Amino acid sequence: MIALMKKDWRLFRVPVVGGIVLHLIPYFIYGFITWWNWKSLAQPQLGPELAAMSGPGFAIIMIIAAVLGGAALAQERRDRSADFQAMLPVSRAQIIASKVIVSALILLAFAIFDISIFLLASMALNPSTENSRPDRGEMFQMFISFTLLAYGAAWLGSSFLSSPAIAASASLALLLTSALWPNLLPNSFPIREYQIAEWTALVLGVGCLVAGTVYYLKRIEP
Amino acid sequence: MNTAADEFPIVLQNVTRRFGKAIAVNDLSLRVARGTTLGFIGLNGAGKTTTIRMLVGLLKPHAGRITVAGCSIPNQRDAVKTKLGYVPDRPTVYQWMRVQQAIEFTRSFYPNWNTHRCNELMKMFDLDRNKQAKHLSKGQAAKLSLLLALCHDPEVLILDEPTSGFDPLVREEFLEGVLAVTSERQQTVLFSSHTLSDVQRLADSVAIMHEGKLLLHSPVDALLEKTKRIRAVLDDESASRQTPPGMIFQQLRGREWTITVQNFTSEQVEFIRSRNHVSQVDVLDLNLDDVFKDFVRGKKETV
Repeated sequence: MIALMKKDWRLFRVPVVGGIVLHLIPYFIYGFITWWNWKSLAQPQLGPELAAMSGPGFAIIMIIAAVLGGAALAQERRDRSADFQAMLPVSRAQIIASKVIVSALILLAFAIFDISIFLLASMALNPSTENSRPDRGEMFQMFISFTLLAYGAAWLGSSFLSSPAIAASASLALLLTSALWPNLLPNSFPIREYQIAEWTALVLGVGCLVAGTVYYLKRIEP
Repeated sequence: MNTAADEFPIVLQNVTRRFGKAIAVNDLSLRVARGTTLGFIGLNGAGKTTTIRMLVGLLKPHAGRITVAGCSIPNQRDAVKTKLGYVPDRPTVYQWMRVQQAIEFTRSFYPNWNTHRCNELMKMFDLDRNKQAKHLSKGQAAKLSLLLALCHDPEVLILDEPTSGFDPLVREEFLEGVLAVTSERQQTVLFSSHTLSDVQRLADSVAIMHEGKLLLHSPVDALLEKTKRIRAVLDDESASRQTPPGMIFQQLRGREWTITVQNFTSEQVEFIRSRNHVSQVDVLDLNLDDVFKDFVRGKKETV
């Protein structure tokens, strides 16, 4: 299992490096702008701006989740190393477990980074500004639901496709659709739009993850 | 008491596999006896690779039963993996791995990994432990695949056109490696190749596939002994000809008439002499290459 996890870590190295670079870009941009305007700012405040910068980080985590889910099975199928792995005396369940654990650890590391910055920076926010923002708990719930959808949908695509890019793109398209479709509902609808989007993402994400797993376990071809 | 699985580690019974409407393998039945090497030959698209992928559990048959080393495939595919070595037509090892990494990675899954054999083969194949798989030549990559397939001492070894595109020297080294290990351990080998001289050298028996069907399965020696080419010179090339029983292929070039026959007897020569106006009749030996070509040409003409 450890050997499989090491191999999967290596398989995900490119999306991880890409994710780190994408993550750091908003902070670099913010840092540069702050440094450039430092003297002209009447009351320079790092907190609110940094908290805002963690926002793109959460969106980038969803993209990384889609890329990891897409690469999980399709990448090895595309370069035929799935055939090599299929001939080793490991079960499909072990192969899946290794990929899910490694992906989850990577996403968790990114999430801890962003959540830490968000929480630390928002401590410095003005309480009046803080109160007008959406509830943090709800925000994290939405983040988890949409990350699960991004990973689950890409995982489902990856279970039968040979192209990680198509699996990841289809997943992101589904994510956007899930986020936007509640806008079609009438204003009088009793449940708030973001809650519908959150539940849609959660149900679809779990459904896709289960469907992809069951399909891969039953499939004979690698 | 020996069971059928002990006696025949590879068994296919009425196996069929389709891709859409095309039938890749059609009602194939074949058995390979323990400790023997089967040469599996056929034209491109004959169904060899499809059969092999079904045998190793990478493809599901649509009908029929497959047993490898006593395990039903694909249902017991996980159980068979420790008993099976597979060298595919193209290397499938992770391209980013170094040779040493690939060996360590593979070894970690096999409790019965034979380190001594691994070191021997490393030396024999002259593989650089620090080279990445993607930087190996075609021959070296195939040797690495063979090494990884052999070092857990599999009961059954399946090679799918492993030497295609090799230069003669590398081919020789590869075959030496196969021979060295398989003859020592009495492994059962199924070896698919287009290089029929290799098959003739390695195989105890040969199976010829054509358009998804098994055309012939016979011990190599018996096949070469019983398949002959009879060359006759006709008095009149336009006269009608009567072919002997057991004919698999005939060809007419001017007055020279050649007939390839199976289950050769002198009666077939006598038949040609007595029923046709011929002035000279010779019997020629064939190699496996000729036998294969004539069987396939004969089948095509029949169709």
